[in-house]
Amino acid sequence: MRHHDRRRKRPGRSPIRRGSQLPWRYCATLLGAILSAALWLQHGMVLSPSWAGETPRQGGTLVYGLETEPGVLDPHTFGPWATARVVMHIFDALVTVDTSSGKSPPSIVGQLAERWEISPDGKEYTFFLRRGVKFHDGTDFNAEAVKINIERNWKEDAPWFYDRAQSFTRMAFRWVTAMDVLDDFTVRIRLSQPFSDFIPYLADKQQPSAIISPPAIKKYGNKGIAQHPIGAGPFEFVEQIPNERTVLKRFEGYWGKKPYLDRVIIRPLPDPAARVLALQTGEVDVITIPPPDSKDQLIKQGYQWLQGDVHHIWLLNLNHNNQYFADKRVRQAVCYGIDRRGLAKHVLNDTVIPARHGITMPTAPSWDPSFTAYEHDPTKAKRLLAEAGYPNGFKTIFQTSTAGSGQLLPVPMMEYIQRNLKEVGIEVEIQAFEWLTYVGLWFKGAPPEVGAMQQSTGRNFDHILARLMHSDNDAPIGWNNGHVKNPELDKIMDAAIVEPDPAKAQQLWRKAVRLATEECHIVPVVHDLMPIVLSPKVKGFVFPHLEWWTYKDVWLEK
Amino acid sequence: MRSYILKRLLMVLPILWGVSVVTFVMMRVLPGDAAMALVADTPADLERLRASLGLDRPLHVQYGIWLWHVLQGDLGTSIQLRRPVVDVLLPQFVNTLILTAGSFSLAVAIGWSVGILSAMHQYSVVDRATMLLTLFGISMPAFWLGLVLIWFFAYYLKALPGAGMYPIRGDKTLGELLRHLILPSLTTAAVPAAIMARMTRSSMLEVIRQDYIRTIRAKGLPEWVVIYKHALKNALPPILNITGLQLGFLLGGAIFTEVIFSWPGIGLQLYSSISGRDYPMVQGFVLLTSLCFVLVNLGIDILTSYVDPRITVS
Repeated sequence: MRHHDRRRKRPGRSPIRRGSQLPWRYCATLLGAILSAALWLQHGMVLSPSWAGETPRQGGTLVYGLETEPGVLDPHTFGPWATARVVMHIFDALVTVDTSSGKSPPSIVGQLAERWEISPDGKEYTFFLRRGVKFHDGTDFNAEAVKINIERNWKEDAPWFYDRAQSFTRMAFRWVTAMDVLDDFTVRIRLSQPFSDFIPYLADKQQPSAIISPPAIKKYGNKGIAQHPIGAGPFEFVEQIPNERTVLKRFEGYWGKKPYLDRVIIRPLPDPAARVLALQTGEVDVITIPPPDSKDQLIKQGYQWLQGDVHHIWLLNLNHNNQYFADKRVRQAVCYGIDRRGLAKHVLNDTVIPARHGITMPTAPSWDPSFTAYEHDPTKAKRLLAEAGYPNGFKTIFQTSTAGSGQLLPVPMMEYIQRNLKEVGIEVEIQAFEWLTYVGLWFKGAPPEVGAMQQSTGRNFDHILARLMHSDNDAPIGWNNGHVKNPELDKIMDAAIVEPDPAKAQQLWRKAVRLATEECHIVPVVHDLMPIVLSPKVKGFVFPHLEWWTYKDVWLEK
Repeated sequence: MRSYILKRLLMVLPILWGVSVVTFVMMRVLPGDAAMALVADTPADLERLRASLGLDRPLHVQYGIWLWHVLQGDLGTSIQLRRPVVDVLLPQFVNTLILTAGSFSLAVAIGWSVGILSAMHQYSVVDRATMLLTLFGISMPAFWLGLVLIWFFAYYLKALPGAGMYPIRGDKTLGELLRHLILPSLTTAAVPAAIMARMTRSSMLEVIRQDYIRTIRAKGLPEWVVIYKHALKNALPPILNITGLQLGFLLGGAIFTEVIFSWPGIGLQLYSSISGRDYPMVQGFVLLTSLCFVLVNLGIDILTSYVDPRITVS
C-alpha cells in the first residue's frame, strides 16, 4: 500500500518532528516503518500512516469525487460497486466486511447482528441482534425489521416482496426456505442445503442483509425507497441531485462510534482527467479510479496515493468450443505467452499486480501466494503450440469492451496481449465493443469463432469461481461464457459450496483453483489494486481492501 | 405572419412524433438494454429484471404505453434514477440553458466583434492574427480545451473554479454561478465563436465593398456609423442564420463541456442515460431538445425577416 504525505517533503513539518513530544508517537512511526517494509516486500509499495498519533478533528465536509452518478440508493436494488460506496454510509447490515482494520483479506464481522451461530449441518443460521439501534427516522431496530427486509428480497408472497430486489440478491437467498423470528432480537434463517459462502454473500456490497427502516418501506412503498433511503448507518441521507451531488450528514443517533465528519458529499465526476484536476484544485478531497499515468505526479505533489489487494481479477475466458482452445496445450501456450509483469508495469503503471497465483482473487480464501503458475515463457508457449499441431501459430479473435466497470484500460491491455501472443505465433484480432453492447454479447457466451472473451470480476469469497467455470453455469444460463466443462472441477466446487467447515471449504477451493489453473480454463491476467487518492488533509483513512467503504473513521485536518 | 407562426407551431407535433419514433427504434436497436445496465447477477435474473421494467413486451406495445403516458403529460420514470423523468430533466434543462446562454453570449460577443474588426482591417496583422486564432478555435476539441482551461485558470492560477455550478461546500449565489460559468462557457463558445467570426468577416467584406458604402464614406460620415448603421445591418441576415445554427450546436455541444466541468445539465445526464440505456430519460431528452430546435429555428426565421424585409417568412 502506498500512502504518501506531502508534509514529509516540507522541511520543519515532518510527522516525526511533530510526534517528538511523546515517545509513543515514535513507536507509531516505527510501527509504520515496519509495516511499510513488510508491504514493500510484498507488492513494492509503501505505507506511512501520516495521521498516526494525531488527535482527530470533529466536523467538516468531505467531498468525494466518484467516477459515476451513484444512482438508486435502495440497498437491495443497485448494481455498481460505486453505488455500494454511498449505500454503505446510510445502511447498516446484519453482517458486513470490516474495512477499517487495513487487514488483507478484510474479515466479515457482525454489524446489526452482534453474533451468529451456524447449526452443525450448516442449514440453520441464528442471528443475535444488536440492541439499542435506531433507524434515521427514530424507529427501533428489532427482529421484525430483519424479517421484513429479508422477505422483501426473498419471500414472493410477503406483502413487502420486491421482484426487483430479488433480481439483485437471489444468489444470497436462493437456498433459503424459512425466516423465523425467535424473539425480539433473535432471528433464524433456514436453508435447504449448506452454503459455505452464505455469510459472505449476506455481506456482499452491503446489499442482501442491509436493513431499511420498515416504516419507510410501508410509507414510501418499495419503489419509493430509492428516493427515501432510511437506514441505521453512520450517516443519514440529506439530498440527491442527479449528476450534481448526493449529500449525507452524520447520524447523531448512531449506535456505534459516531463519525467525525459533519457531512459527506458525493460528487459525480465521470471524466478521469477532470477528476484529477478537481482533486488538485481542492474541489474534492478523495477520488477513485485515477488515470494510472497520473500516479507519479500526484505522489510527487504530496497527495496520498493508496492502493492494495482487493477482490479483483481481469481475465480472459478462453472459449472451449473454439477449434484451437479446446486443446489444453493451446490454452497453456496463451497462459505462458502473456507478459503479465510487463503489462502491469508499462500499461498500468503498477496500479495492478500480475495475476501469478491462479484463477482467483487476492482477498478470496482460495488465494495462495505459495502457488505460482505461468510466468512469462514465450519459448515454452511456442513449444506447446508446436506440440498441439500449430508450429506456425494461427489466427483468432479476442473480444473486449472499450471501457466499463472494473475493466481498467481494456483496449491498451488487449493490444499489449496481442503483441505478446504475436511473438509466439498467435495472431489476435481484437474486437472492442461499447460496454453494454459487450455485456449483451458476454451474457450470450462466446460463439465458436471467438477465441476468448475478456472480463473483470471478483468477490472476497470463492463461490464466484463456480459461477465462472461450473458447467451448470454455462452461458447463456450463467457466467461460464468460455463453456468450461470439467466434471472433476465441478465435483470439487460442488463439495466446496456445501462444506460447512470454512477451513475445509478453503482447501477445496484451493484445490479447484490449482486444477482450473493447470487446465488453463481461464487466463488470469492482472489484479487491480484499486488506487484511491486523498488530499493531504484527509486523515484516518485506512485502505479498505474492498471496493466499497465508509468515511466514518475519517477526519479532515484544518 | 400570425398564420405562418401558427402553421409552423402546428408542424411541431408531427415533427416531435417522428423524432420520438426514430429515437425509440434507434435506442432499442442498440445492443444491450437497461436491465443489463443495472447489472443483474445472472441471465435468469436479467430476464426477471426485464419483465419488471416492462422490456419483455413487444416493441409497439412499449411505444404505445410510452406515448399514451406522454399524451397525458407523463414522460415516465427514469430506470437508472427511479424518479419521474420531468423531475430530473427540467432542473437540468434549466442548468443547460444557463450554460447555453453564457456560451451563446460569449460566442456572439467574441465572434461578431472579431469578425467586424477583421473585416475593417482586411489583410492587416490584426486580421491575420484573429483569423489564425479562429482556425485554432474551430480545430480545438471541447474536451481538450476544457481540460487546458481548468489546468490554467483553476489549478495553476487558482483564479476560477473548474467543476460544478456552485461551490460544493459554499452557498448558491449569483456571483458564484457566474464565476463557475466562465470556463465552461468559454469552452463551449470556442467553436461557434470562431465560425461566427469567419462568417461575420466574409459577410461584412462583401457589404463593405459595395458602392453605397463608398458613397456613405464619401459623404463624410464617421466610420463607426458606416460600419454599425449601414454595413452591419445589411451583412446581418447570413450572420443571423449561422448564429441560429450555432445556438443549436451549443445545446448539443454542451454535452462534452458538461462532462468535463461536471455541469449538472442535460448533456451530462444524456451521457449517462445513453450509456445506461435509460430509455424514458433519452426519449424525454430528445423530445425536449427537438422542441427547442424547432422553436429556435422559427425564432431565427422571424428575426431574419424582421431584419431584412425582402425575405418573407411565408
